[in-house]
Amino acid sequence: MKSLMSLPRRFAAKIVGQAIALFAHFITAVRADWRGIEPVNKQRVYYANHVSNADMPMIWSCMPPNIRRDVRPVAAADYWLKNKLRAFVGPEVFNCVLVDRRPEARSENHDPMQNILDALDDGSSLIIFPEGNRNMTEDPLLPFKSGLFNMGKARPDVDLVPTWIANVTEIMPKGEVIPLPLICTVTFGEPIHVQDDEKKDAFLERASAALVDLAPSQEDRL
Amino acid sequence: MTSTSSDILGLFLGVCGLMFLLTLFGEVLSARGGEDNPVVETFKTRVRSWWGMVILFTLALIAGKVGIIVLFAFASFAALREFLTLTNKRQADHLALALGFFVVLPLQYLFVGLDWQVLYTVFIPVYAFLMLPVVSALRGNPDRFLIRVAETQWALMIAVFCMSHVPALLMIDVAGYPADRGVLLIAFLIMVVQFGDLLDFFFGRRIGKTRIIPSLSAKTWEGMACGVASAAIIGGLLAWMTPFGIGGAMAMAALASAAGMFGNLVFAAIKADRGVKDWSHLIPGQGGFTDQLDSVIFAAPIFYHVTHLIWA
Repeated sequence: MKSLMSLPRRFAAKIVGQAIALFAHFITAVRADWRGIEPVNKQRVYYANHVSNADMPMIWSCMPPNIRRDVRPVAAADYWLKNKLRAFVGPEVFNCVLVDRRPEARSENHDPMQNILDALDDGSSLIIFPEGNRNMTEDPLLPFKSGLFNMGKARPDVDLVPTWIANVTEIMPKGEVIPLPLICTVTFGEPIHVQDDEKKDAFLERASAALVDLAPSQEDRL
Repeated sequence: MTSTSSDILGLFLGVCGLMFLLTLFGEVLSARGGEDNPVVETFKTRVRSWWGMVILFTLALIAGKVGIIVLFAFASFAALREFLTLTNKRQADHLALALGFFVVLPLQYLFVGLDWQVLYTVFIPVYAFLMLPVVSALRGNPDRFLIRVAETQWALMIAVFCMSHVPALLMIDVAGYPADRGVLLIAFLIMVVQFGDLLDFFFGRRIGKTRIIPSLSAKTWEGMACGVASAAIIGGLLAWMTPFGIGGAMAMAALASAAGMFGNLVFAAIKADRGVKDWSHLIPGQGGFTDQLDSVIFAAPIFYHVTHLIWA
């Protein structure tokens, strides 16, 4: 798809990407905490908690350029193809791997998992939100969908990196218009892998626990 | 060249010379095999951050009054962001907090810039204090309401109100002290407070025995006394920057330094309560803006008002 894009479009996508990263840094001073991994360009699947539409741009912005170049967020086609602007920002600026969440679209020639595995086979890293939807509950995480397990099973060499994004709900609660400039921290934990004989549910539970472990403790808050 | 700008140039060269010595000292330490020593690394990162601050402050000085006000408005923004990241809030406070960042903060610095003293000394303690809780209350979530509004107000007082008293020093009118020397008065305040802190740390390590608050901070009475005394001596040496005379400059330096050190303890208590070591990681080697400026923030309003009371 990249080769079809004209040069000025690609240039515009680069500029818009830089502008988004700059805006994220100015407003939230978004900071990456590389707790479990080094900030080097290695093929990884970053799996993160999802509370707001700003999550993906935040994680993307806090990555150093050499990682950002090869990382592709996995995102919902129904959201990113809704209008022309989104269709430019999603697939071209963020270089998203678009998957269709709607079951009726899945039947013919669209297998979301195949798109994801193709991207991995191209050497790209991925950002995914295994909860599938934004978490509007008080619980730290919704139950994970099976995608993460299927990926880890099909490509066992790829590191699955838990990625906790903190504070985004307070920066931009649902229904508010003005983002608050609070400090946002993205914590990258130690990579996990699907073990040889590990069952799906056991793995998803382990992955979920590894992610929650990265959340700053709320005990000191009232 | 006016006497003020030659004084600023002299000050700049002096500070640069000192910074060169510190940089050289760091290089010598790492050449002597301290390359992997974390203390040496921390020292070198700190010196690099200080260089950044000296350069920023000098650029603001060159841009004049507006430059200084804009610089401190951004410092306030960064400090407020660090503070409010750690406070209690609910979605009901969203609008009040947004007003704090995008209306109260710019207005406060606008009032300082326009020298509307009647307004900038009461705007946050009176108007913001009364109005922001109204905005929160209208959204109707009483959960921990008093804690939420109190913490928000504290954040605004510290990060915006107190901080804005640094550039407000530009506006003080002292007979026989040319108005354009206000920038030197700011440099005086920041230097005596920061050097006082540095020497407090140094002497505290050497001769400090009695911790002031053992559970909270490594500060000792001995270190603090030496720090304040050193600040007074430095203040005396820098008296030419101020309208106070040598004795007055020494007293003001000691007062500012002591206020700053107690401020440091207050901030240590807040950080301990919220379970953080630093306010943020924005300045490499020294945590956040608030970590760097906490003592100046505490000293500024006192320094401003005492100057007003005695000399203006």
